[in-house]
Amino acid sequence: MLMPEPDHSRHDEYLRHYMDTGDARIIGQARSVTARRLDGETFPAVLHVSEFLDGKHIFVGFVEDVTAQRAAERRLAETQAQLQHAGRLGAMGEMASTIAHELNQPLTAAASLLGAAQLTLEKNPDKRSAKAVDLLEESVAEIRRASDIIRQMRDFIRKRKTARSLHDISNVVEEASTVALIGAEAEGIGVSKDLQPGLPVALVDRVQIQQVVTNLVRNAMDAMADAPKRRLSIATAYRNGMVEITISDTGPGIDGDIMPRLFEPFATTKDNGTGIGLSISKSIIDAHQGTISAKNKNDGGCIFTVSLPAGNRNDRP
Amino acid sequence: MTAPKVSKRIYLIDDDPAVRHGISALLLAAGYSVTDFASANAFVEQIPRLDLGSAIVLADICMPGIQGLELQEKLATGHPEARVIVMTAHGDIAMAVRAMRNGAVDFLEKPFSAGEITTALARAFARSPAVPKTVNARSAHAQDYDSLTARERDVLWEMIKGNTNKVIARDLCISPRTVEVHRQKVMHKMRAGSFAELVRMAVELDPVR
Repeated sequence: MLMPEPDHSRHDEYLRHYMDTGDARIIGQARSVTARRLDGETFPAVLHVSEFLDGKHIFVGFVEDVTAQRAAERRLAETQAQLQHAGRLGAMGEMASTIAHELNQPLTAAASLLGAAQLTLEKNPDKRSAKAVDLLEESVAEIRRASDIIRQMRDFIRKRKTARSLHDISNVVEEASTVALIGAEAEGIGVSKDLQPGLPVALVDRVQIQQVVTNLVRNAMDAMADAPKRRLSIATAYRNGMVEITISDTGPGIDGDIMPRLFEPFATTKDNGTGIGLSISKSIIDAHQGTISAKNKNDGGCIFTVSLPAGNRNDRP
Repeated sequence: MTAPKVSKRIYLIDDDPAVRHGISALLLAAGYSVTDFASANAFVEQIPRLDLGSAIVLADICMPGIQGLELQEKLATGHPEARVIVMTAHGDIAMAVRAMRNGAVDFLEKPFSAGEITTALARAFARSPAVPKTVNARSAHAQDYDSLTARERDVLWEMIKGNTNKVIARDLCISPRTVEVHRQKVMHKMRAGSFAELVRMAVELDPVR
């Protein structure tokens, strides 16, 4: 029997239930089940059951082996989880860096004001003001300590080792866009991919670059949510020693006001955006000695271009 | 920490109003006069009306628009008479070293004490504005540097990169404890009162390294 427990021993009961009540629990609908091979190994399957009467009451079950499909889904989910994790770490690094800068400024202002008070007191020296000067100096030392702690936190979060190796960017983009494009069809977005085979490899952190691609693809999809024409193009190419990734949409384009600070933290055009995605993308690409830029197209929509230094043509991934 | 007799001018550039207010108060209390700018761009626009040769430019290195480093490069080529002190985030050694190599006369780590800024300004004013800032035939510290052993020199240049003892130990294949010993020897032999001072000396010794 193809059916493992507990269904195995209950099978006759299921049949009787249907015969007695006419309540079809499975007939006519596909159901995900666990099936068993002859050697006892179980595998994920989709079971379709139908019945017909040909003198006798006959049930026919079609067992569809979905092992490969499930494995692909699992891989996809893992990649997605990995990307999200990298995204969070990247976001944390960016946040830490911004917070470190933002906090250091008021600390600097406070230390300077204390310094001003100190110098003012020193102009009229007496016994009490000498004591006050000491206290002010101590306060400044404590402010310096606070600043030091913030910096160490920033460095700790930022100095995560990145794992770079040689990759074919077309493969990297293919993998990332597959994940990012989930739901594109349902949103009525037409996708065209022009991923050049045999590009020179590039020395990159695969997960980080995928994070950038995912971010750009998602942004493009979001941008086209209300657009009459929804067309997303993803391409790779080799140009002047650089491997190039372009992602182009047919959305409304980027506002002229936002454009100059598009890649700065907390600049967002989305209602629910944090303004972190593009700034992280930029810090990732900067760290790879590459460039990332955005441009509005003449016929509407915008195009993002990521360029990464290509390795030697003879290098193999 | 002595106040200058004639009121010397500081051009202060920082994008944060609270920082401008705080540092201005400190500089005024120290007897300087201050003109402040909210951005490097605002400062650059005013340059034709400013007397760069007799003032010190005190600029934050990390600002929106033209960044501090860019401003510094601009001044180094177009206005070599300008003496620039950059303000870096505390502990950002790499940035400080880069600024010095680009021709800044000094750097200050934010936040700083009254003593640190007044000392740095006094030193900057003592410097002739016309002298090229990065090229020094023979630094005053060359003799001290010559007294260092080869290993101590290795440690010094690693320190200037902002590396921790742990990283230096790994790079030089010695124990962190030994690095600490070398580090103290370096500070002592170079007669450096602080790490910032050591950075200054090192950049003077070797502006391109």
